[in-house]
Amino acid sequence: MSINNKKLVQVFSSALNIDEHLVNDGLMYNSIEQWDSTAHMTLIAELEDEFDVMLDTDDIIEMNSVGKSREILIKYGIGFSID
Amino acid sequence: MQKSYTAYKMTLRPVEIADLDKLRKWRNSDEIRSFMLDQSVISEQQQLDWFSSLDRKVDEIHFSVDYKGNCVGYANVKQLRDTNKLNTGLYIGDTQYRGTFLAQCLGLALLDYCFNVLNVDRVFAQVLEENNAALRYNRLFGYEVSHIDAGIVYMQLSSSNYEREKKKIIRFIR
Repeated sequence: MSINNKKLVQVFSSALNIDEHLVNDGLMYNSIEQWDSTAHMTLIAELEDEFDVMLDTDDIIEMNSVGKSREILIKYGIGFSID
Repeated sequence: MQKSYTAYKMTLRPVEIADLDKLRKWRNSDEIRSFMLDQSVISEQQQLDWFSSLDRKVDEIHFSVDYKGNCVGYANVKQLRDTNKLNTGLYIGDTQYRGTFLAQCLGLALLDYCFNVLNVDRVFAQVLEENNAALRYNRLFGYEVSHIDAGIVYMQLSSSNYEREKKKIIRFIR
């Protein structure tokens, strides 16, 4: 797993307070109790801090899964290929 | 004549006849209807009758909600009978945006409309007791529970609570 993929998993794990093994591309906003509206804002803030980006509101709206989050971060120049 | 209101990427605009089919299908879908206080299925004729009556309603405002120029949901503000209390309601019908931050944008737009355009200092909401998602969502904006009766949670939001909680959300509106 690349460094940025590990960071992504760690951020989701921390922001949502879930085990890292539960973080997969298919995990979706509001699909688990831990990923609710409040946790989502914590998640956005931590993603922005960790990857040093400021996400556009339209991208925050689109960000409804782990997989989608990765896609959006790639748009901001964050690479997720294997190092 | 009802005007549109645009804020936080959302446009709250008058319901148009072209919206009716889409709104009725969303309203009647199990995912939305099952969490409404009135869970009856709305027929096309019932909806047409409702739409025809909108101009005469002085104590209700009904909006279609647009995002990026497309109708994605519905919102309303209703004055509770024999009171000066305003009730708010909304749903996001477009499944692409259900369960996304768009819900926060819509909530902010509707509440700003109530507090800043209608100039009330308190709004109310009623949520089914089992609708935990809606209860958490309302709390995000500062709603507090007043009481619970017959499976319905009665909530209220003061303008001061809203202004305090709103700051935590609008930092993500850019």
